[in-house]
This record gives sequence, C-alpha cells and structure tokens, in this order.
Amino acid sequence: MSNTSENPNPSSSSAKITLKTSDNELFEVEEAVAMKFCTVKQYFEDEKDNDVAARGSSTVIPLPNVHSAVLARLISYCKKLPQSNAVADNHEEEETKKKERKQYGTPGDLVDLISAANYLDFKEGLEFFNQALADHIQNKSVEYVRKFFGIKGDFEPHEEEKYREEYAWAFEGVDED
Amino acid sequence: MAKRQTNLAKIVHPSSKIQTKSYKNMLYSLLIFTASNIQRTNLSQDRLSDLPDEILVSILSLLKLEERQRTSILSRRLQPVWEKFKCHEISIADFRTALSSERSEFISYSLESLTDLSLTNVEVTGEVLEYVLSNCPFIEILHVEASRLLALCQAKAFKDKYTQYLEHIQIHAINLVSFEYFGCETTRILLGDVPNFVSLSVMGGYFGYLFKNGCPISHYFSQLETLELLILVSQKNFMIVNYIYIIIFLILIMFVYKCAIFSWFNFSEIFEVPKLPKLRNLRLLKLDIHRLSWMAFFVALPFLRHSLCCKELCSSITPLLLPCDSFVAR
Repeated sequence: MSNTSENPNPSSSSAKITLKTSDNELFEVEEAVAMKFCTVKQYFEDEKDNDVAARGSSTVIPLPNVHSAVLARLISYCKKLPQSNAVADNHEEEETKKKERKQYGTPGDLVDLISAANYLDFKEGLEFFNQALADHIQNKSVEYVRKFFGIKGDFEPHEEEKYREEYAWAFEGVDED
Repeated sequence: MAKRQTNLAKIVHPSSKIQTKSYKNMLYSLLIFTASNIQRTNLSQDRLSDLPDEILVSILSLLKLEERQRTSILSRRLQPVWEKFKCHEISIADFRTALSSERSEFISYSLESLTDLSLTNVEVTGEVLEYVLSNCPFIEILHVEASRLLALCQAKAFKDKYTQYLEHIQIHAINLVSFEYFGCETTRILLGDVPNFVSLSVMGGYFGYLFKNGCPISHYFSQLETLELLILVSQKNFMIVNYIYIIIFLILIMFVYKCAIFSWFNFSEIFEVPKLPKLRNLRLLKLDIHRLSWMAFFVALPFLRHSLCCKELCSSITPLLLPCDSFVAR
C-alpha cells in the first residue's frame, strides 16, 4: 500500500491517484483518468477537504466492488475515450464502432464492466458498455440471447407460446444464430 | 441515441440505492456485489439478470421496439423491467408502428408517462393526435412542425411551426396556457374554452389575419399576459428612407407613452390598421420586427396605444443602425 511513489507536484496534470481493488491490487492512474469515475472524484474531493496536503497524491482510494481485471479494462477504455465516444454519423463509422464494442467480448465480462462502471459512476463507459451489450441482443433470437447470457427461460411452454402468438410481429426478422 | 440514454439512465450509486430498498433487497444486492467477484469466471451463470433495473432499462432503451418486446419473454426476472420502462423519448419509427393497431396496445405503456411530444415532418392527422392525447394523461407540451394535416389538441402548450397547408386548427383544452403559431393566414384557428390561456406567440403571415374582424383568437386578447409577435416584412420594402421612420417611430413611442397626445389622431382609420381590443392584462409585449418599414411601423403603433398597462415592452428591430436595438419601457 505504501509503495506508491511520492509525486513532487501533486497539482500538475500528471498527478497520480492510487486505487485499490477488491482483490487488494493497487492501480496507479493519472488524475485525469481517475476523475472520469465520479465515485472516485467524490471520494478524492472529500479527502482533499478533510486532509489537505498531509498525504497529497499518495491517498489510496479503496474500490471494494471492483475486481482488478475489470478495473484494468475500464482504465484502458478510459485512455482511448475521446475518439470512441463521439456519435457516429455514418454507416461505416457505426460499423467500426460495432467492431470496437465487440472486443469487449463475453457477456460475463460486459456485465462486470457495466456493474463496475455503474459503481464508479462512469457515465461514458456505462453508455458504451450498455451499447455493447445491446449489440448482443440486437437481431438475435430469444434462444440465442438466453444461451449467450445464460438466462434460464422460466415461463411455462404454453405461456411462452401464447406470448409469441400475441406478439408475432416482434419475433420476425431475426438473424440466424 | 446518446441523448436518449442520458435521459433514461439514472445512474444510482449502489450504496445510496440500498437505503431505498427493503431489507430483503438490501441483503440480496449485498450478496450480489460480494458474489460477483468470486463468480466472475463462471460464465454460464446468468449475470445479466443481476444487473440493477436502472441499467437494464437503459440497455433496453437502446434496442428497437421489436427487440424490447422480445426480451420480456427471456425470463420472469426480466419481464417486469419492461413494464416499468418509463419512456422519455420515442423514435418516429416507434411512433409509426404504434399507430398500427396490433402494436398500439403495447406502446401505450410508454406513452403513459410522456410529458413532451415533438412531431417534426410527421403527417399527423386529428385521429393520431387524439390517440396520443387520450393515451398520454400527463402531456404538457405538444410540438408539431412541418405537418400538413389537421390538428386537434388539448395539451397545456401547443407549438406549431411551418404548417403551411394547415386548413383548420381546433383546440379544446381547458388547461391550455400557451399557444405558438407560425403559419399563413388561410388557416382557421379555433380555441375552445381556455380560461388559463395567457401566452400567445404569432409569427409569419397569420399576423395579418390576427387583427381582422372575426379572427377567433382576438377574443382572448383581454386575458393575455404575454404577446409575442414576429413581423416579417418583405425585403423590397426596405429602403434607406425607412430609417427616417425609425426615428419618427421612436419619437411617437415617447409621445404615446408619456401623454397619449395622439389619441385624437386615429391611425387605424387612415392606414387601415385594425382596431384592437384592449390588452388589459398584458405584462410582456414582444415585438420583433424584421425590416422596419411603413407597414411595420403602423402595425406596431396600435399595440403601443392599447397596451398602456403593459409592464414590459421588448422590441427588437432588425436591422437597425441606431445604438439600441431593444428597449424596455416602464
């Protein structure tokens, strides 16, 4: 915990903030990146008010709900944020964005990222990962989505059939799995 | 899409959310948070359902109507999420599909909490608006732009722009407070019983009709508190000479306001400027005169005479070479 290097000038833009994850790993991130997480920002500001220059940049902010693997991905996402969050205005751009979102892969990872982004109050990240998750539901059949996310269909067969009949329009034009 | 999401995704800090939930739910969410890290490698586990409802709703909002409908059959856990879905913004595609009868029942979930509806380039018929209004008990603002068909409305505020081919507007809305209209004078506008109606904004050609005898809107003048008029005068009328009139205009305003000395001289009869009912309750008069000319000058004058109790007068004349292009009197 005490292995963080002393920063001679904490107010400069390159100031580092140390985050501690649920599995007790320490992450040293740039202040600009850390401030994207509103929860961290809030904590940091409170800390600043209480105890000004006493500890400075070496404050460790605990994040008991975030796993180190998840935080690492969030930080790497944060660093390339500016270009990836602009609204796509043409089809081609939308396609490249889709590919970019696909890199965040498996549903479990996405759910972790979303929970962490929600906990950290990281708005852009939350939007991005929500969209990534939505991509996996788009144009997919109910069976595919259930399998992909491990959702157990707990409706009675006759209930489900009735529902499908009633809203037949919603079950048309689905991609092949 | 990003905008829509910011509306919907009310991001709640987990610890603050816990306080509002029941004790049982609190334990449950604590369990999830501690368990999520232990189980994170187990991908066959249903993790999606563990996400808080706020997040699920914002994910659903990114999907198309059909997909949202499909997700409600995924599991019992996910079904109520959709029911709770309070929609703030519906895309036009959704709106169109809502109009076909088999889907209308479904979309009414979303319309229930709608407060602001903007229809641009949509061919709204009276039927459509009636449908919307009967399904949106909380609607406050209805905005119709570039529509060519008949409109019937009962919202609190009605904004209508560029409805060039509109023949007939009928508004029956007891709660109507403001009405904005930008259109031509061939349109007939009828307002029903509107006791709370205090704000009128008229732009474009309808202005000319507004002060002719028999214009139904003029009945409401006495109850108006805010009147905004945008007077457009064609460019060919605008000449250097007109600057002389600007000066005369300003002098006359002084006179009218200070002693009403010109009351014996009836401009209305000489220049065919219609008589106005008194604007007794008027508090704010906004005149926006583009290209000041003879016409605009005499059109504006009766207003000044008839709204003497007006507390604020904002007038902007563009373009104007005088140092002040807007002033406030009284």
